[in-house]
Amino acid sequence: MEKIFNKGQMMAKDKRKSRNQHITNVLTLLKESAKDGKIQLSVLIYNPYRLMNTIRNYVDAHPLKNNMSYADEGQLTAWLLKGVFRYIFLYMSFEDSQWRYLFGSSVQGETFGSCAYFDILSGEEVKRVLQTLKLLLPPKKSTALEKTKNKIKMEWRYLILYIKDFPISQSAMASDMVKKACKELRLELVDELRFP
Amino acid sequence: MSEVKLHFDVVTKTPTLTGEDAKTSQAILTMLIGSHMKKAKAVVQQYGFLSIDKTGFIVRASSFKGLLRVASEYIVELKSIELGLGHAVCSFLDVEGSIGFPSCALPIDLENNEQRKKVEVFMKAKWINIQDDKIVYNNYPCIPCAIFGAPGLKSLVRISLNGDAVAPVETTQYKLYFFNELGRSKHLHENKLKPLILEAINPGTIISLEISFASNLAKLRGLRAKTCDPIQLGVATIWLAIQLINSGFFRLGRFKSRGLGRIEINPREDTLKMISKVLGAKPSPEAITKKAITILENELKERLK
Repeated sequence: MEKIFNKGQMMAKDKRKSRNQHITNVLTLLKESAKDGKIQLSVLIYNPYRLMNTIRNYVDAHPLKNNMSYADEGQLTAWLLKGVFRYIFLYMSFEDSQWRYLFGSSVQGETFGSCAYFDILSGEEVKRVLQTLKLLLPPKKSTALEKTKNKIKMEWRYLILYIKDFPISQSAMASDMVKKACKELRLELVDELRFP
Repeated sequence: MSEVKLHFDVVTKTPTLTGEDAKTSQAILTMLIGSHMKKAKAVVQQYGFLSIDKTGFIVRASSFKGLLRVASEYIVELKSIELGLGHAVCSFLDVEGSIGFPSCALPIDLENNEQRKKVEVFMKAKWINIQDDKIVYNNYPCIPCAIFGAPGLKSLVRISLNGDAVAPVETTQYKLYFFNELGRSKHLHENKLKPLILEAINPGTIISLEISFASNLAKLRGLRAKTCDPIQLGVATIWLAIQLINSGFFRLGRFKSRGLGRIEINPREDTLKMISKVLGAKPSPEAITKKAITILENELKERLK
């Protein structure tokens, strides 16, 4: 994590000049894919325990009032994951650094929302999400969805990434870049699904 | 079809920050708290919002309308693409670079040379045909515009926050310290770092939502819906949008991508019965979803054949 943070910060300074170009690149790809009717919804399911342990070492969070205990660790991981991902993309390589804008841009004139959202959910909740999506937008191989459901353990917690997916090159989707970043974080992929 | 009113309980599943900026919130709250009750009531009726006790945050009914609209646009477009019918929603159709936002470019004035340029785009997308130099509109307005309105087209639905609109909602203030230099003390507050303070609506908060359909507008069959009653199409689309929101793909307020703002919109028992009656399905969520998909698919096939 220290290596990622330090290199990421260094790269962030180097990338300041290319920032606007990177935002434009991602925004253009987003618009093109919407225009070409190539949008999908992707769900990536990970085992988050290793990441949660790492994040615990670097962040201190507590509520100020209502006498609540420390913020739920799972929720905290999800809160911080966006920031961690931005550093990961900066850390990965010069070409990959532009994908930090998959999580949106607030630059005036080129503001767009994030393509990825996070949650730490119980196995039961993950199964419920998959069941709803199965009814709503059946994936091409519905047997794959059943296999995924069988892999989910009710008592475990999972990191679930929801991605409004689109092609970023001839052979790669936005979710592939997120998967690459998760690999750098040494997160264990449980399964992935695309709808429809 | 008589007036349809649907009641839902919105449950926040994670801490939720609203999208309101502090200045606007402050101004509206001052109007509410410091004024006569009649005036306060008028403000509530105008804006349909829910105040959050002393924090300066408010939740507007229009935020829920926006959320339902965006999710509806996504589900309608995805269904159309899944069926191989092409674009079905104006915010996904590129008319002179207008992609990404709802942009009802129709109706077209054929006398206007500038507007005639758009005809080709709409014809290619099968949204219009030209017969005897007159335009036949197949997909105008698009389904989300037909339900939620567009410039010059009144919304079929009215979304409001039900019950005591000024009831306080509990919030928690979170204070987060981050390392800005790794290797420093783990006790970050000892390093005099400036914390990030977030004040969010607590998970488990229930907000009461009412969605009502204007019955007089619903008579405009053909303009709003081609294969069924417009209210049926509206209820089906909104139901499917709610399922997408409940799955986690669409969220409320700021900091969505930080895992916040996840909500669940649950129908009350009488609303579930009402929806099943309107759609002609058994009163179970699965049966309603299946029927709603059939209604939406039939409408899309008719519009974009």
